[in-house]
Amino acid sequence: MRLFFILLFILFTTSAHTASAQLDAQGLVNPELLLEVVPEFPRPGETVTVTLNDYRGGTYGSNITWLYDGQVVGEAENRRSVVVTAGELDMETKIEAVLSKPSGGNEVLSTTITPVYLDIIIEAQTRVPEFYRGRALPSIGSIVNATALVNDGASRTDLVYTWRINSQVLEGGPIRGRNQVSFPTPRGENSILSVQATEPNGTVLARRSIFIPSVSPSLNFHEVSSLFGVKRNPIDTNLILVGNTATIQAEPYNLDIRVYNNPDIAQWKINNTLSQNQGSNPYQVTFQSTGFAEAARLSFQVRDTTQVLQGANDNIQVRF
Amino acid sequence: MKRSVFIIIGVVLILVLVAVWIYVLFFGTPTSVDEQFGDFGFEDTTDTNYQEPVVEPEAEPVVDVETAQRLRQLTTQPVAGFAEVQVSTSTPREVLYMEVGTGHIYSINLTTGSEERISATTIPGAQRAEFSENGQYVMIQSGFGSQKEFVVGEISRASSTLSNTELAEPITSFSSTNDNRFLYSIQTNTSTIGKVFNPAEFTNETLFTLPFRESSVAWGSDVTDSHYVYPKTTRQLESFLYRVKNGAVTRLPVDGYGMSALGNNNSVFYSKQERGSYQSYFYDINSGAENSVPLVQIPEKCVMGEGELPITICANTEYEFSHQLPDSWYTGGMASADSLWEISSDGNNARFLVDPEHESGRKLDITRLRITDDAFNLYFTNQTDQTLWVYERITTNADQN
Repeated sequence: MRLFFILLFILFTTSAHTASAQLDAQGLVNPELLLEVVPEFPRPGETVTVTLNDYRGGTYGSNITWLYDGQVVGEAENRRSVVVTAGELDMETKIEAVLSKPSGGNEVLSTTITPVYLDIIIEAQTRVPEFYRGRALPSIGSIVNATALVNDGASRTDLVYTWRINSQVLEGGPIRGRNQVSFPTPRGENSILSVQATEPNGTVLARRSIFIPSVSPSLNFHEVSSLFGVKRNPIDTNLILVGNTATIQAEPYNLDIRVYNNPDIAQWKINNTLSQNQGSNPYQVTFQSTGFAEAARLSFQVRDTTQVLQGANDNIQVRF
Repeated sequence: MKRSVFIIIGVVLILVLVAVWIYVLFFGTPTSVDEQFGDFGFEDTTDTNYQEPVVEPEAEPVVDVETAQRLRQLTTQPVAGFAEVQVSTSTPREVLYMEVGTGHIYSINLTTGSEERISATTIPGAQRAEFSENGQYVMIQSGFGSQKEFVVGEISRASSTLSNTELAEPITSFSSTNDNRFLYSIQTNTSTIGKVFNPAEFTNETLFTLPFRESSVAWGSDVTDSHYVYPKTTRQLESFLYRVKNGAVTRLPVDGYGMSALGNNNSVFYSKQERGSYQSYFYDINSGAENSVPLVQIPEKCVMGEGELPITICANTEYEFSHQLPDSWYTGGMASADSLWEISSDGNNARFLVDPEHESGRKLDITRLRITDDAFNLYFTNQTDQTLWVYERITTNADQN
């Protein structure tokens, strides 16, 4: 019996103490000593910084050795943090910090990095011209569709998603399988959209936050050829009218699609006089040179009267 | 001579003419077909298969193929689509192109430089076209927005009409394959679906589905090649690159603000905004290595070869405000004076090919680059007027540099 207690004493005084860096594991046990991973849920190949946070001062004088999947990271010897590269998708990498205390004994802190893709795709329900290759951007009040894709682009319907826009939780809280949400663009130039994907057992798979811009709608003017259609290059600030007539099309960018389809105001003005040369398309006007002695100012305005910031106006000079 | 002699001679002549007229009137009816035509004594033939040669009006060359220029403008009218094809081994190589607005199809003989209209079927508002590898089929987009329509036409060399079949789907992009099929994507309320259409059998099948709708697709040359899909690009939002191969979707470690890309089975060329400037990279799929490209390129102004000749050629301008790219180029409001550069497969080196402004005196905003399978000819359009150009990358003329 005496020998048994001696062995137990030796065992508890010399063996290393292992602690997890995860908040839900180590944090409850030993919240003052932990490994912090930034970013918390890295993508494959992303640079990750692991920092040893000691809020109790218990590591004073300790020798710190960092291990990357069991291999010693030499250049990080006795440093508070280590920079590593996340591995491939779903590949677990174990990072350990071995604290060798001056008084003898080791303490080992460890964390596991599991790279994951959690992509947030933003699709604003605003309008850009057909020939424009880029994506439409949100503008004030316009509806934004956000989609969360995990890893290979598949929609994981078994995951529980929690969406937040700024500090407001969308959809009333976490919803299983809801990887798409829609919301109106808030006021301000930027909003923060975040999503957290959780496994059905409650384990957080990943969390992401992005800035969502809100831009002001704008206008470009384009010449229209009856044979070739809309010319892709916009009119700069001056249009030199070669013939007697020209058809001009206003192309709004990032205008709420509802306003574009049903504008409260869509008016062309020539030298501040409302134009009557509009056909069935409110975004087109046919300009005739007769009756003008000098350059004319052609302007267009499209606007929603309820949300007055949802609109655009611009003008060009037409020269003969 | 006496007056009476003249009168007698005149009367005799009149009598002779009246006699001839009476004979022809009553006895001159030919009794056989041969008697209707004079025999001019030309050689006859006994060959029953002989066909009278058809003398065609000589076509005027519209493309100068004689001078030692490697850069040539092929059309003066805007072009909806084009392809270099060789219908058979006995026929010369030709360039097929479709005219914007009318949908008429023309053929330029690359040996003689002559041009011929091979389809006079008018497709009002034709905007974009893709020809099949053998030049037998063409996929066409006409109109914009809600007026947009898509047809696949069969080109007949025997007549100047196009046999059209309508594709009643909301198509967003399309391309042809090496085996004369068409790849295309459609947009649903919440997804992008990639499909392949076989014009010979009028069948289609789904290749992939991705759960977002505002997508750009960089198609491979064949159905089994890698196709790259990403959310449409803007410098203010992040995009992510997905690779589709044999129906499997893989997320590649390529993403970023303003990211757009193109690629083949082995590598990806992409650009993105990084710390306030636009940067270009090569990503090797097999090794996972990534190299920075010395020149800033917009991937939509590049072409990447497949297989044994995986060269990459880009049109490049030194952009003044690169932090606004690529959005500023997408709007069409940015002046370009592109030069052509060939980039090595690892992305470390770039070789200057030609400066069109120096060669032709015109500033070109080059887009829709297409390189032939043998990598000899590089075709492209000028975005400003949509005219078609060709650059002989490899020339067989020893006088040319």
